[in-house]
Amino acid sequence: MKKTENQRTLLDDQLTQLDHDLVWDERRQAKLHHRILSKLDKQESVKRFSGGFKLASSFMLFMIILVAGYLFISQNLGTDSANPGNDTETAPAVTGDQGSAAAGSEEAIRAVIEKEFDGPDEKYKELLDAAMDAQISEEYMEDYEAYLESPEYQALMGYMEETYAAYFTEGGYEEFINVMHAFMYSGFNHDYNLAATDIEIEEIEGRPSVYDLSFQVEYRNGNNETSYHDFEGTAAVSEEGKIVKIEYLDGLEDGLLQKLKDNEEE
Amino acid sequence: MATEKKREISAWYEQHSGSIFRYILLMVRDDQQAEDLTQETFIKAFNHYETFERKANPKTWLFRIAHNLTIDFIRKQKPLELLKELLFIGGNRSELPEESVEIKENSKELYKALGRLKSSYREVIILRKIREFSIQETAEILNWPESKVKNTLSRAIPALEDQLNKEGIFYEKN
Repeated sequence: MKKTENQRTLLDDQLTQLDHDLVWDERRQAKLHHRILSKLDKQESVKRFSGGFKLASSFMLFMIILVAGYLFISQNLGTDSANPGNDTETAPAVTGDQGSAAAGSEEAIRAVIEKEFDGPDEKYKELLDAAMDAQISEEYMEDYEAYLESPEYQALMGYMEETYAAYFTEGGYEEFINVMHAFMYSGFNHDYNLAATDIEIEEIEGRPSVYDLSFQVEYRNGNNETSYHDFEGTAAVSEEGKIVKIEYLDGLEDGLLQKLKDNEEE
Repeated sequence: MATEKKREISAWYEQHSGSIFRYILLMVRDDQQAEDLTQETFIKAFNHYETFERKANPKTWLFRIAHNLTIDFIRKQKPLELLKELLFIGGNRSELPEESVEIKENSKELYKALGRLKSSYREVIILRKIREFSIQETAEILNWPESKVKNTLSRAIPALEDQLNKEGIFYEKN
């Protein structure tokens, strides 16, 4: 009699048994886990360093353009003053609409900084833990598609959207949650508090809709030890005053993220 | 989100590292290399996390990464293995792993016999019969058409049975 495709043979059973009989040392498995996580941390530090370098390079480039622009304008003004009939230097008129859009943009940027750095966001932590527990639960372990539909995962995504989406364009929001990493400073388990102060948002002269940002974040751990971290960055907004892109960075090796990681391991 | 990404990779490690390690070990038959390739699999998954389609099954995706890394490794090893065979040194194809893995006595011969099959036979047996992936999932991991998975498996199983018989292991076909 011909055997059907689903009929198990003795060899099938022996192959299944082989899998059970290959026993990987648990300590080695745990050690490798640790090794991978350390490697990822190192990799991220290098990336942040290179990001910081890029930011510094961009700043240098910006300064060069600024100086070149200044020299160009000074030269032209000199020429213009030699021709008194040609009165060209006029300040751009700011309409009421432009003024209120700028105020709206600044509010959006400020709100994102406050939501990200006045924390940690306890509700996010709670939802993140629930989603992580759900992912490794028996119900969803083998069915990732079902996990994506699970109430826990949906609640987490919903909360992120509810917190941030209104301040961003659609693409800007996607980038913020995936690249800039929304709630990046809230995902740690040790006892700590963050507070953002001295938030300054200034539109860059000659670059409408692009803002320079600076702010300070106070980190306080469970032992009441405090440190201060100075962030600088840029943001670009759409005509409607929604954020298209926002980036900020503090120190490299001694940055807030590193502080949070170090204290997590203690 | 970097933290969240890392936590997800970490959760995937908890769930799948054992089966990925055993799959790689059966392919390369060197426990140290299997650990290194397992590590590379999860690092690569982290680095390409954005390309992972959220509707896909992470297990299949991780195995596809592990498969690509393992095949690359085997390809690079091939000239060395051939040279060893030419010089009658003998490759380490069927040696048992020593450091981090224990193989229970009953399965040692099967482990060795599986190691003597060509890599495409070995791989399709591991994925279909040991890891119990469906034909569709196996095709996705290997980037083969489903018909190739079926045909290769239908040749691989008799080849393994022959290998077991050649080694004098009593094997009852049913």
